[in-house]
Amino acid sequence: MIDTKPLLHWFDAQGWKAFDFQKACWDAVLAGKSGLLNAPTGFGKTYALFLPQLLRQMHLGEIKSRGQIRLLWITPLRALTADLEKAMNKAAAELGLNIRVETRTGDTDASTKQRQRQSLPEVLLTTPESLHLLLSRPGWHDSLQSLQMVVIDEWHELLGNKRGVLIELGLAVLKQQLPSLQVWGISATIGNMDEALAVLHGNQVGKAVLIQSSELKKLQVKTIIPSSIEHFPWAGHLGIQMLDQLLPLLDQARTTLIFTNTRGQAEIWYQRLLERVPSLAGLLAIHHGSLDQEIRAWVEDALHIGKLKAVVCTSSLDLGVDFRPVEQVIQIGSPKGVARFMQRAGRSGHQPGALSTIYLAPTHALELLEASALKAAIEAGKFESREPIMLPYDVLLQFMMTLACGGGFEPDRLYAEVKSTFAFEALERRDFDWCVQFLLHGGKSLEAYDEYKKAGLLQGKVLPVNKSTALRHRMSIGTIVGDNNLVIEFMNGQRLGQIEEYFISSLKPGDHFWFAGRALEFVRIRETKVQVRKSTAPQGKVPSWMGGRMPLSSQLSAFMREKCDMAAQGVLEGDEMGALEGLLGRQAQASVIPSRDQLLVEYVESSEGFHLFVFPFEGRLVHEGMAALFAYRISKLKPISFSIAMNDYGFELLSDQRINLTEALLRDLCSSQNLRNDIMQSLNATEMARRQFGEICRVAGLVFQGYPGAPIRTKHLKASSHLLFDVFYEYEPDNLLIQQALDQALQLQLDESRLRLALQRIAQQKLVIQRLNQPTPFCFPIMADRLREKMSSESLSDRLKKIAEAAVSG
Amino acid sequence: MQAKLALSWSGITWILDASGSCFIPEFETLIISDFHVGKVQHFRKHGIAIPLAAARANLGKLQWVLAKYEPKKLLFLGDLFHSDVNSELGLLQELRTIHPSLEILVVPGNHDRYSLTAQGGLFTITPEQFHMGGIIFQHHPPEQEVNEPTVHGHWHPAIQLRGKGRQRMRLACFAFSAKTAVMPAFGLFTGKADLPSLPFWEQVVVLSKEGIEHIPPGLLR
Repeated sequence: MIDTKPLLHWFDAQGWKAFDFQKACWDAVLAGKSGLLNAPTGFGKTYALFLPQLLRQMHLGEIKSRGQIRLLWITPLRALTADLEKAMNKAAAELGLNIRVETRTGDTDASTKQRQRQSLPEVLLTTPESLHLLLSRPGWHDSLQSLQMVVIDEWHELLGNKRGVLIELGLAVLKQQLPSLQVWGISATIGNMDEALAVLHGNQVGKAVLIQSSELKKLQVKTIIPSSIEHFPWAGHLGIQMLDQLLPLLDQARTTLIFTNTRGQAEIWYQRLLERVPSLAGLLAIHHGSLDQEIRAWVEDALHIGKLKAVVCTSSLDLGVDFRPVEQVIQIGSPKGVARFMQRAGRSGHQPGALSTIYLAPTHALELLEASALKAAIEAGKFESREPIMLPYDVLLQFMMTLACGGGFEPDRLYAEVKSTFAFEALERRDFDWCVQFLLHGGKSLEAYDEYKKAGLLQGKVLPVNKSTALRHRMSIGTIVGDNNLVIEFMNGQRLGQIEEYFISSLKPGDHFWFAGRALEFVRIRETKVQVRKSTAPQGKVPSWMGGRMPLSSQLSAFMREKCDMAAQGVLEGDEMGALEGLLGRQAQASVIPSRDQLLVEYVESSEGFHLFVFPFEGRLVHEGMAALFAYRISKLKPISFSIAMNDYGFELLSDQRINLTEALLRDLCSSQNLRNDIMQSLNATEMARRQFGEICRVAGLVFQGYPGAPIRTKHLKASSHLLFDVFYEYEPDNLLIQQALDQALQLQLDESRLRLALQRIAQQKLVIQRLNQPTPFCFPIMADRLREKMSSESLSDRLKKIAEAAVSG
Repeated sequence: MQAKLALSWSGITWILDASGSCFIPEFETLIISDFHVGKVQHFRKHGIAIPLAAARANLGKLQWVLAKYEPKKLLFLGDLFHSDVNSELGLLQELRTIHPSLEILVVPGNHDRYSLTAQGGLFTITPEQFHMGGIIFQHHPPEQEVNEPTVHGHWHPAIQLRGKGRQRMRLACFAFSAKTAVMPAFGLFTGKADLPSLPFWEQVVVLSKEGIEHIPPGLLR
């Protein structure tokens, strides 16, 4: 085996010491193995896998090694490639090997792409989508023939979504072509590491190794206890009242990242911080997913060189390159998950052994309970799992077309390759054949009048029928589906980012709003562009983006229930619980704090009607399903209508009629009998599936988003996915894509399996029914949250008046 | 819910059918707007697999209303065809064979791009404004206020209804103002657009799978 001494010398020269996991990776790679590396950020994961490959190329000699691709390095984020490229080039140069390390993503310019098409570099950094683009070019078999290793960086980010399936499928055909290909993943810690390994390696998992680093990231978590806890709100999600307490923290670090949970919240915090501390102008920036790529790149560069004091950001900065100047992180509001919180914490102190400091600022009182649960979960090392996607037919259809464009595929051979992946292990031949038929004939049967044109069969191979079908397919490779957003730009064409159509539709020309941290005046809409100019108005609306809120993870939910249980016994550990003493006391006095084996139900009569509150502490998603299920089951007994609200702790059913609330009734409501049917009925599963169908249509190629340069030419092929859903649902209900939409609705949107588990748990619990005249501290945030789903700045009464008036609108 | 309802507008009786068509007994005429024959085929030709059954159902729906009202005249209020001549035309020719004496009139719409006259014998093409019994029938909405009652299509109008419990429904509709009336799109797989708030709509009638229903006047702003 090749001696790793040169690598140790190079580490010495840098003043570093190689960690055990790095040496283990070097040995495994040089022994020809495949696997998955799990190590914390900032500990040199790149060097663990890149260096042994480099060493191998050194042995091969420069002449032989040049001009042939050896290593493919795939990252989920284009922004990551620049830093990787730099680090890899430096290591190669210092180790004395003259090779090409290059990037190929959607941002790569045409001439570089052209050159790469002639000859790929020895090391290519790319994204899952760009890998599939490579596979859609005839001749990829030859140009990738010399490939030795593929590395999937940040595998945990890809694992739980359809991009992960793109990786699985891409690897399956590469491995078939190159039997000795080594595949490696790099992953942060998640709850299901073994499964992460299995998903990456499919049916080869038996030969793959999992290397876990014993290095621990030093982490300091501090909850900011509101200074006047008596006046701290019981409900709310903005957390602005914490602003004054956060200001001194900004002084103590070179650079601070301030994470918020939604883009709208980031805009508001940015605005309020500047108002409060005008001297931050120029030193404070905002970063979120709807901002234009260029603005984000500017912020990232400024972070790098330490020009910024603080950045208000969202999950858009959860992962990415390491910003050395970042010394601390502040999280506004509960992060709702352990893994997400740890990831954000890791954005500070990005060097081996450095201390990561994260502050957690609650936005309402009960979030202190969440903070306490979060700390306990971190201590116990309980991370969330990333559930892999199973049998996504839309991705399979897209991939088949990709291979058809890339020189064609033979169905029999492809079936075996697809079956070797984790996602499609259970794929039946019948369903695979259905997909092939769908490509060839656009459905089940051939008909006399049909002129369907997409792919055809030639000498046993499926190929695209013409160049324009292939071109259209290449333009739509990928599974990231943008919402129906409009580009927002100044009159001179300078782009600011994207905004949802429905927000703009609420504005009139001349209205003012905040976006990208600037006050703007709405001028007009031109095609798909919103034109704006700078505004000096002090007040303006802040856009809200759909989707927003994350539900509490099941891990955190479990710790929440534990904390409640301790509080029920009068044990208040830690600052967070201590600060809650007053609130918990009031809850205990008015009602009870539920212990581990109790389910708390509060029935409150008010001038608004009859409020049924149930507190399973299972997270918003489960509560949404459970609330609808309860409402449906009650409405079967008598005609009644409910207004439903929920948060991460419980849910509320409000009606104008009294319910005869007995323990027997509650037991029936929680029953697991007829569950599937009742869920389908209560949640209007068809409507949920219709919403899922949009993404499926785009991935499967039924909706075409258009060429960047020529949107008009494809307009005649646009149909809304709702319309498509209705047509398919009515005329081809057994279509696999319709089935997938229904499954996705139940699994992803509702999390049916978690709902089942929750009902099973409740079946073991004692029911505690409290009849009250006033809402308790537990009820309060739910009541306040009630109409917030489409909340505007209007008052509650105005809104209700409007709803009454808007019983019909055109 | 009922399958059809009758209302009086501009001095004559209109039978509105849940299919989205409209029958005028006085003229023995069935009116159909925005049929978009061939839209399914158009998509399929470009590799987008809309179920073929939808195209067949489209023609089936037409045959069904013809059998129901047995009109002497069939008036297409524009956008009969979705794009170029295509194979669904064959199905239309079959229809002609079944109803040899039916007078078929086509008011041209924006989608009827190719020369409609090429289909000589199958139907008669009217001017863009077709007069019948003091009423004007045209595809496009009138650009200015009109003096004579005018019926048009083109919009594919729908109205959003909100109910308790955040229920929402978006239903295709007929709408009548003092001087103008708009017809829903008859074709399946044609999409909908919100009914504009002006002119002032005196009567709106919605269609659903269950049937056809007046919107109570109190709910119209």
